[in-house]
Amino acid sequence: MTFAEITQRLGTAFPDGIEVVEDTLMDPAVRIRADLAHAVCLWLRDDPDLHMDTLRVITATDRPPESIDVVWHLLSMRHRHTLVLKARLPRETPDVSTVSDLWASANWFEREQWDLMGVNFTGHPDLRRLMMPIDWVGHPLRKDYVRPDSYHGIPTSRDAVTPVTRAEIPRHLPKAEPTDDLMLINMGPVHPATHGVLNFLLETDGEIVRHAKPDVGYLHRSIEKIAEMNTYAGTMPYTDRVDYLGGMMTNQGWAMACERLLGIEVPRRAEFCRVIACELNRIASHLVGTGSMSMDLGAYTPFIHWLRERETINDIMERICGARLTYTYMRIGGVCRDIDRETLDKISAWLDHFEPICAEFDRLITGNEIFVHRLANVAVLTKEVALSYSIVGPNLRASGVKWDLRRDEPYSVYPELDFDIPVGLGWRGTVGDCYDRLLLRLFEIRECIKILRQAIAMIPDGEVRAKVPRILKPAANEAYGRVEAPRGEAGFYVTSDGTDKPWRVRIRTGCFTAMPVIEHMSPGLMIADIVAVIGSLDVIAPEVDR
Amino acid sequence: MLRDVANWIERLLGLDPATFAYSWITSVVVIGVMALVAFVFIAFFAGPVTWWERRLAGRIQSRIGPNRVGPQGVLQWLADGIKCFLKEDLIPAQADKGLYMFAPYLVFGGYMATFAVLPFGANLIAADLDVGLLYLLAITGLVVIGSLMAGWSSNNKWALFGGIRSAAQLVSYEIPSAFSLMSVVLAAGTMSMQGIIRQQGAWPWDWFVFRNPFLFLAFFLSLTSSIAEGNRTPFDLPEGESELVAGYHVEYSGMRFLWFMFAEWGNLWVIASIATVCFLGGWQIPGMSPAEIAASTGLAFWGWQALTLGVFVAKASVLVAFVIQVRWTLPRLRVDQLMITCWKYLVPGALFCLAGVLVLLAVVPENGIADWALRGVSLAAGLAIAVAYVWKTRAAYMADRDLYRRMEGKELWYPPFRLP
Amino acid sequence: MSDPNDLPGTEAPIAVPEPVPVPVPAPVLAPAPVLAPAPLPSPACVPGSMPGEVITTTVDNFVNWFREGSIWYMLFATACCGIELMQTGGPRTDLDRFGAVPRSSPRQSDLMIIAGTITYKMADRVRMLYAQMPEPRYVIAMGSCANCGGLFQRGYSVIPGVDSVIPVDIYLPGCPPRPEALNEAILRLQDLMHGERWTQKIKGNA
Repeated sequence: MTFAEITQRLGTAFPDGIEVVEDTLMDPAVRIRADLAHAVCLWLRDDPDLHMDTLRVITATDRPPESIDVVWHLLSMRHRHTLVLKARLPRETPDVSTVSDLWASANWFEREQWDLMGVNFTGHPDLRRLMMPIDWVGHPLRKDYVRPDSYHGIPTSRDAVTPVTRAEIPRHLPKAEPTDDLMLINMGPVHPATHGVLNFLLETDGEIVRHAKPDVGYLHRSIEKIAEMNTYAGTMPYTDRVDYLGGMMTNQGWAMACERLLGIEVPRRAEFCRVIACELNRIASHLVGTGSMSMDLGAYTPFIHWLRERETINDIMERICGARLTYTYMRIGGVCRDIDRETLDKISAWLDHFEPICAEFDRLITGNEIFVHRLANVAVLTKEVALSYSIVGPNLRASGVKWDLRRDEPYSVYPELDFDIPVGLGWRGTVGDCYDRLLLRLFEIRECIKILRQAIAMIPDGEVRAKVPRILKPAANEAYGRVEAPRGEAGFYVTSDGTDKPWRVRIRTGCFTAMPVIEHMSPGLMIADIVAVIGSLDVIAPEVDR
Repeated sequence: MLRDVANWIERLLGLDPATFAYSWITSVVVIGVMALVAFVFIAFFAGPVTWWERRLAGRIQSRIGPNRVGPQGVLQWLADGIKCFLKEDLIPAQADKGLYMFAPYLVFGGYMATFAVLPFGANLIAADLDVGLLYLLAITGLVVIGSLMAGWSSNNKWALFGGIRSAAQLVSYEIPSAFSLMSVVLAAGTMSMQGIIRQQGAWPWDWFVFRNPFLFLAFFLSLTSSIAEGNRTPFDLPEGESELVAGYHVEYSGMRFLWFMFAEWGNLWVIASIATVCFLGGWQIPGMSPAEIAASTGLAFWGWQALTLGVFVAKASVLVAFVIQVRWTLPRLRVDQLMITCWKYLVPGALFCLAGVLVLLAVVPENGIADWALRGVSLAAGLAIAVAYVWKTRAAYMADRDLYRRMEGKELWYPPFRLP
Repeated sequence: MSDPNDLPGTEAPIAVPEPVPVPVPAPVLAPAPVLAPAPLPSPACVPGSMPGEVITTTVDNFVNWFREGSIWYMLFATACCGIELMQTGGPRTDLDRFGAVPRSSPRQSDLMIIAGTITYKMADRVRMLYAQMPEPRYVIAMGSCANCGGLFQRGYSVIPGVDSVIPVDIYLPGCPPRPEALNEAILRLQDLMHGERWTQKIKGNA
């Protein structure tokens, strides 16, 4: 259905609900009355022709001095259409009804917007801070927010820092006061199994977990706020750090969002360079994902073998763009450097070398009975739960939903490339268990190899960067650029206001919505299974916290 | 013997052993010296095993492992030991001090007291007890108390988890371990370690492992149970690094932590030694019977001792390498799978072996045709496994070699010691 | 230990700058005093261990050589630098060659490599972990974020350098630093350890 049709049906169902139809935007949006938000969302979700089964992201944009806008990006995977819903709230009392009873992912989206922007979602079961510490004062993403000078004695600016000496650290520190409710065990934030700094508050009965509550924000680096202070091109390095294992793809997402805003078309050779870089990066990311999963389960060797292969990928990336991990390879309008013939040959050679190593991994891990027993039938994620929690990426595909942005919302030159989308089939257990998620990533690695070979063969000659003005000043507009990152959808919702700096940047990552689903799946699992689940969902902290 | 040595010292000091009032002091001193000697002896077994484990792990993982401390890194274990010795003695404020300080010694003692009955050579055994095997199984029970104490006294929930898991695991796996070793005791007719070795011969068909299929099965059950007793992967739940941070010794630092590590790696040696003694013929050398060795004198006697020591160490080393390789290959079992493996598979298996050995002992006469037939069957099974292992290794090696040859001339980083 | 063939204790001492004479003001009868050489900043770990002031004995050299060969570091990987930390423990740059193994518990580690960004929410935890480490303990601040807040200094949630919560011995620049750079940091740490008097170290909060 097109935007016009959806809006028309919306207008019929809610006669005076629509305030403004913003169809001049890159992604046309419809602004509704704030008090009808819940009713409209309910209707959009349940109407059989519209069936918005997933909530992509909730954004709150500060529009001083009078209002705050709340934006819902809705997606229907069944009908393949999207809708951007907006509501304008008064800035003093930004109240709007929650939609967490319609889509489970809204729970955390709304908590984050409460934390950072101060929007009060009425009816939310548990509205407390998510990213910032509990005793933080203020809503940081507001335009009039002023950074405090210090927090708990730690200054906020580098100039005010005097390095601590050893004498100042007391010998025995008292136990940290509980910042949340008293829970039984604290798993993290520094824990070898949690991938990065993720904290879980576990309530257990012996070995069996009754409730696992994720506690995030330990790596919240205020990237969205910093993006408002930088120019469009200057935010590119920050997007690497959003997903450090899939830096190329977040780079591309940001570049795509900006290119849509500015109306820039990327040359074909640049698109192929992007595909090659992204697919190599996807392989590297899945190597760490599957490797760290096997390490969590006790098999250290496959992880080290994967690190060995990653070293060669890092070398290739270094030839391409000069960096091993935080690439900043993409530019708005293309890529920064060409991939020369020699590098392409090296990539081909490495692919020849790497394909049999995948078989080696299968011999070591995938067929291993202990592995299968640890992972099969553990933490089954059904289709309905996955859609309700807005799970994307390999986790969603492992649950049986064949949704891949490269095929279903195509971008770049992926429509010209021939590759399969593997879907979880319950190979040794049930569809959507941990084993499916592991095996799916291994299949995706093989698909990436296919794509790479085709791209290397098909890459045309030409420019690698479009002619782009020195200072990028898009007109006031909004665009949502999204790519298929290794962990799902990396979406950048950019609001521009006519200046050279964005007004609001909202980053949607796959891991953010994968965290609350752990809480949903946890009752009845053992502690060892929690570790397996975190690994199988491939959750990394910077994607969750940004 | 203790008293003899003590008396000899007293005479050296010019005191009369019969009338010396404080002769218990000399006994204590002698015990102390013997303990120190034993400690150094054990250190020379446990330490190099850590070096070997890290180098082998490096080899399996395409990397090198320690090679800086001393030539090829052989002094690495000394560096670890000295460093831990020099660390601050840290006792957590809320920990139960007495239990916290005592637990490492229980764990260490439980594993290391077994060295007293291990026959390293034909006459190289500290104490050839009549109930050697029983003593061995019993003294490792101290480890259960030790790990529970360590886990509880650390005042740390993760340590408590580790301690409880460890206690459950150790207590459970003692049963299949004991039953499979009882099969050996039945076959040998004695519990003394030297006695068990003397009942075997030097050639593989005289070893207990190839005597009959039940003992063949018992070998694998015993090895598995011993690995579980030693908290090694795939049974290393109590110290599952990625789950429990470091299990029951998470709050231990410095020298106290070293006792735990020492015990764990020394225990590798104990696992291998038990299997060697009970199933693989121990230190027996072909051509010389134990009686002949005992009868020889002077230089020949010590020569035979050295040779039997070498044979014993070689056999045990093979098993140590195997256990190390298993650790770096397999993932770990979850706690309920661990318990299921023990109670539903290993315990019935061990009982089955025990019953089978009983029946065969009663029915089959020694050195008859049936006996040799059974030995032949077991040997064939063993050979089949060995041949299959070598075959698969060779096939993987050839495949790797082809791949490597295909990559020749193309610049790809690969570790220099991958087999060409 | 930069070269296993070097005998411990024979490394060249760190160069001390020549004393700079003060320019003599015009009518002064007494000769101008020569300023003492500007002392190198003392490493935060051991006051009084400045080179030229302390003579380390053979015992110290011997002991330090063993201590350097067994630096157990704590797996503290927060963000992107954590991946490079893992790669440094991996096949190409193998930290295990130096005897440096990762430990998961702070009680069993001598070195904490702060790899990644530290936020305010995380700062208390970092301090607690540091307090749990037994002496002698060291800290390497790996990467820009741990050194000074990195490219997130303009944000509201990142502390400007981890040395505002714990004392740092070695600052390692990079974003992220290459494994070879982290390797060099470990070697510098070994140099640092080599100039220490261990009796002073183990007597607690020196």
